[in-house]
Amino acid sequence: MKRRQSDTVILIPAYNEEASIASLLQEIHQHLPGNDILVINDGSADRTPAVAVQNGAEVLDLPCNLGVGGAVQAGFRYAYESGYQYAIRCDGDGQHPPSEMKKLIEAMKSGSNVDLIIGSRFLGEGGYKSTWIRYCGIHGLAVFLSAICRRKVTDPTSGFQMLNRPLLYFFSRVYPMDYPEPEALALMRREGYDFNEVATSFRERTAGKSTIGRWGTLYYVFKVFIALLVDRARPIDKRFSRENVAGKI
Amino acid sequence: MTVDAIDTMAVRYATGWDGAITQRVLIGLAGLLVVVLAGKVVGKKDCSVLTGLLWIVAGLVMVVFSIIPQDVIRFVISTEYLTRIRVIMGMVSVLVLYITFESIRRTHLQEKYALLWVATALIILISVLFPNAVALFRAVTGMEYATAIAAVSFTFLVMVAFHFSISMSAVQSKHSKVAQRVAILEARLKKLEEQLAGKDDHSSGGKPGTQQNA
Repeated sequence: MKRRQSDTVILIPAYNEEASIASLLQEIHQHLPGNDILVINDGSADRTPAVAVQNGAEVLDLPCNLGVGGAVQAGFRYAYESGYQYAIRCDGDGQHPPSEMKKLIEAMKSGSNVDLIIGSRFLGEGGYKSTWIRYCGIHGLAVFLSAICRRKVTDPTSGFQMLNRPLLYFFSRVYPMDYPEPEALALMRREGYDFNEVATSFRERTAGKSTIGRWGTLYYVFKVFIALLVDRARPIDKRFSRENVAGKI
Repeated sequence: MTVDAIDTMAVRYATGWDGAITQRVLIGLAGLLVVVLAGKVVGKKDCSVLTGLLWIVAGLVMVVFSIIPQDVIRFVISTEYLTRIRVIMGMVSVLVLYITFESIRRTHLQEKYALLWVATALIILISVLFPNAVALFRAVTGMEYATAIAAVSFTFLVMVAFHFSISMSAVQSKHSKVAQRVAILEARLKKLEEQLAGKDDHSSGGKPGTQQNA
């Protein structure tokens, strides 16, 4: 019943991104022509969904604001149920340049048996400037996550990712609600999924401002650390683990 | 302030009521009104009998007080303090029980959330009916009767509040699942509508501007 044009869907969670979403969508059409795009409108108050439809995206209109985790999970669920093999997730504020998506696709399809490719701001040279609080928070998280995931993580908060179908299935069942990215990494590793990072360049936001302020950063780091520790104490749900999912869906 | 001092104050208060004819008449009339209205309502089938009876008792107390205010207050003072506390706490616990059951009956409240409230009310009621049990509790903890009741109530209130936080988290995760499902269904419905419109009218090729990569 679904009319898929590509085996990959680009998921863009958007909350009041009216100003930046149009140019982002145009850019995606330019770099990845013919690729399906899904904008998840997380209860915006502005014209985000209408602008997205005008620019050739499909829109998932959440009836109320669920936060990043809920919105992204809605996208994963939709991608899984529509039968897509891969999904690329990028933010609606334009800080993930669509030209960099090819790097994700290359890394994913090079056959390295990885379920998730993360675009990292910190891997390559050039690097990304931010406030020192944020820098410390992100790097503290990165070190801790690298230890518990037994994989090198440099950018645990990156929302620039590409997932394959088994992981779409897992995340559509289990995904943290707020500040989801670092916790999601730990959760998927516990279920036997694997990830890899590639260096991608990021842009300054073209419009709007970060949803996380200075104190928000402290709260973010604290909350994520607690969540990571609590997750360690939870039993592993084998139903969704990689061995039981891969090849069957 | 000693106990006796409070009592003399109460007596003075009681004698004061003697002269206040207007107030007494008003209270009496209000009590009568309550009794009559409640009596009328009790006769109907769709109302709970208990509610009506409670209102009738309240109205009767008002009427009796308006007729013999001094005797009522003297009677209250003549009882022991412990008795008074027990009567008040008994009324409170009966009231809590009654409101809980009434809320369940009217399906405002699910049974599983009512259990803690019922437990609180029952424990207070037991302490009212068997003061010896409280004496044991007092011997163990050293708390006075009223303090003990307050402590019990407070503990249960905290438990009820915690229970609410837990059920709120559950509701939140369920509500986000529902929202996601609704959004996905809506998107699928739109696609279907577009397909149907395309079948009906080939020349127009669907709605302009909504077609992907046309």
